[in-house]
Amino acid sequence: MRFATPKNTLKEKVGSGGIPEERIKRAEEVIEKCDVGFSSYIHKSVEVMCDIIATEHTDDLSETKRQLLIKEVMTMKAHGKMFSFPLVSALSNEVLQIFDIAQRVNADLIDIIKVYIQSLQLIADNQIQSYNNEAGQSIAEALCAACGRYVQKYG
Amino acid sequence: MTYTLDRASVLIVEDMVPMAMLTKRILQTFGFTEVHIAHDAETGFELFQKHAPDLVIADWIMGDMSGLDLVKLIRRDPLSKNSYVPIVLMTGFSHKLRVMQARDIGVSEFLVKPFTAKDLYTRIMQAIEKPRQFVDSGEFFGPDRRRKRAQNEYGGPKRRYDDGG
Repeated sequence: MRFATPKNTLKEKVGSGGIPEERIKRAEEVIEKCDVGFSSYIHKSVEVMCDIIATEHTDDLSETKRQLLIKEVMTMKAHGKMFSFPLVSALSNEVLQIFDIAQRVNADLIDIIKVYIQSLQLIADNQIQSYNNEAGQSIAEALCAACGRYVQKYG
Repeated sequence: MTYTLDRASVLIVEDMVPMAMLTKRILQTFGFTEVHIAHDAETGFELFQKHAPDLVIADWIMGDMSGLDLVKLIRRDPLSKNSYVPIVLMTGFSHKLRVMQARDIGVSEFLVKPFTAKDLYTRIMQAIEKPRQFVDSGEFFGPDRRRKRAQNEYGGPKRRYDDGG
């Protein structure tokens, strides 16, 4: 086994001292104010997920399709909050946790995915960005209840 | 005194265009001026070879070639311009097993999406101030997977004679 301490060219170039707190705050504002029309990405993701669960004829989805679903949910979790839809990130995180305990994608899990898809459609159609309002809360509660039932049965 | 980030270059490899643009804007707000963007790993490696950036920020899940494949290329391809470059891997995965998988490929820092500007800055600062030594074991080439602890972090009993134990 060989060990090497490479030349720290990044440090040599940028020097010392960090960056002022004010620049980090401005960067946080860049994220907060970023508006890219994320609803269209949600709609696209919903379409992809509908295709995945619709084209399967057996009760259980194949591992490939399971991975495709995880990828879609993960993408929504990763980007929702970055683009002013924290509710999307929160709901997607719930569903990802279910995938963590799910051995296979069976009818019960597909039911959760259907609730998740409906939630995303509602969010995108009505621009429900956060859970700090009645609509956001009821969507979150409905999905959490479905996830809770799944955990009770399989967790 | 503050960092002179305008002297360093960054390569962002991210297939979601708005996410790549947002990351670029955050970096520019920090003070970086030379920021290159690729929307797939193949182009990312081409730009890496062309510009030899000082820092790479890549997404994990992209098209046919993933961020991990890109890390492998940068670390192990004999033609790689800089096998030791710090690489920050962005991903929505936060499970420990995923972090270990990325670490075992040679990723320097792991950044879970969604992230804040402060999260990104912390990873960049880690790459600047606390780079890890590299290990080449034949099977693995990359930053040492055991992050060194400061000596005074040890909280257990002192047994050595020199410690007075």
